[in-house]
Amino acid sequence: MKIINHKLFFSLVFVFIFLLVPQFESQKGGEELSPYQAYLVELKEYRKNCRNALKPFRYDGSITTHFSYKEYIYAKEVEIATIQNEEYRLSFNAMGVKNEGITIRIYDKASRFTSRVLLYEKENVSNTEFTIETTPLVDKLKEAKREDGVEEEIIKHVRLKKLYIDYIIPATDREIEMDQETGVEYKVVTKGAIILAVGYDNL
Amino acid sequence: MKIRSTTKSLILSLITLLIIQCGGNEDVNETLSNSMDESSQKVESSIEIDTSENDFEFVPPSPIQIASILRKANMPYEDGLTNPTENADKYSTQYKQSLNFGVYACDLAYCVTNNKSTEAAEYLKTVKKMSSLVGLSAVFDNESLIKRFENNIGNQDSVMNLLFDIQILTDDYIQDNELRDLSVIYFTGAWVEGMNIGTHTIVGNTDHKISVLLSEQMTIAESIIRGLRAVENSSDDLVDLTDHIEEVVEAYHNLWSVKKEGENIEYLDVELTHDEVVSISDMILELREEITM
Repeated sequence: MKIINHKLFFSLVFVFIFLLVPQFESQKGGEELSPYQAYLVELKEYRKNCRNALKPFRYDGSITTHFSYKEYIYAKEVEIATIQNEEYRLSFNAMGVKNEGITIRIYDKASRFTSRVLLYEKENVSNTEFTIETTPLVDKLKEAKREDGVEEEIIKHVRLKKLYIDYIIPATDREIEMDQETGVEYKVVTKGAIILAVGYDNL
Repeated sequence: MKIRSTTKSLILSLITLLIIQCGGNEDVNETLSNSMDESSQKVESSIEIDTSENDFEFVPPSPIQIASILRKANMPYEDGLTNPTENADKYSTQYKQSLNFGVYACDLAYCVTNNKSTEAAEYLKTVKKMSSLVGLSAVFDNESLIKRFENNIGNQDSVMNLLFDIQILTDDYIQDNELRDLSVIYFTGAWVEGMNIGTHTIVGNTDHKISVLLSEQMTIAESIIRGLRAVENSSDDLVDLTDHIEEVVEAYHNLWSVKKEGENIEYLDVELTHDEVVSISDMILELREEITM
């Protein structure tokens, strides 16, 4: 019985010191959040703003794309399905891109297709928010089809069934920092996030 | 004996502490760097597209939009097309619960868009029940959602706004908690249910616009397949379901009306013949049975 009590005592001490105390500390005030946690809280607010920018279009969905800056350029792709000949609004919130700006490109096909048409491009996107609508994108697609010699009878029925949004993340040199306690050096992972909300015309 | 036990407790505590500390260092490593690196070099010629199967990001149309489209296509409300709420209790696996959470979400939207308040109230309760089974209880824990619904019965605009709020809360919760796999499976359920409701009406309707609706849903099916294939640790049931959806898509691409469009199919709406609609509808109904039985 004594042994059990002893074990219980150590377990309780352990739980109190190492698990509960840090929680109390972190609940004392918002300033206890790590920079990354604070960033995630910020993103929630950006998401709300991003959705609000859809008005008067109706909300259909949203996606937050998180990324890390790497030592080489790369892209992340998001696919959006559109229904019927609806007009869509895409609301981008890049307030979570706090470092080097990214490039946004919108295509009619996925990256595996070499014949895809670039419908929209915006470079150096950071600390900003904006919206675009799909009608000019469809017009651009029709223009590309026309240049390819597609018959006008077909072109007038052309629509975008899907959109592929590529976020091009620029290469950055990673900073090296040293852990003050252990003296171990590590590469700082610089992160960013871009929010996309999609809305459709309710008419 | 006593010392050994105490030592064991201490060792256990230390090991646990070490694990926690190691986890803590990850936070340090992931500290957000606000420094702008002006010296980075852009290599425009070779861009690696980070779209591995596990990193598939897709924004599907919401169940509300699917239901709205059915409504806009003048599809009349039909009793008995939705999944009975009593069935909710028989789904015992996470897989079936996730799928049917989507099925019921679509049924709820179908009732609301058709102003069927009594039915919608039942489906809202069922969606709430299913949400707690699939890990989304936080979205529906708020009692005011149900109260808001009850207070606005008969006011379709307000109920629709409530549905949008639920959709937003669900999307946010899924993103905050990285429940991407759940979202793909739940959307699959909603999609199949939307197709189930749609095909019942399509088969008895010669309006070409409605057959176009079926063909465009096949484009979405392709994205669903990609999403389902990317689900981590997928069960045999999920693999089977994905295969079955793929069979439907293949059958669709083998239809004459689709084949004759050639590569323009990517951009054009296709009008299917009545026989073609029936053949695809039969496959959809089988899929729906597989999910809801």
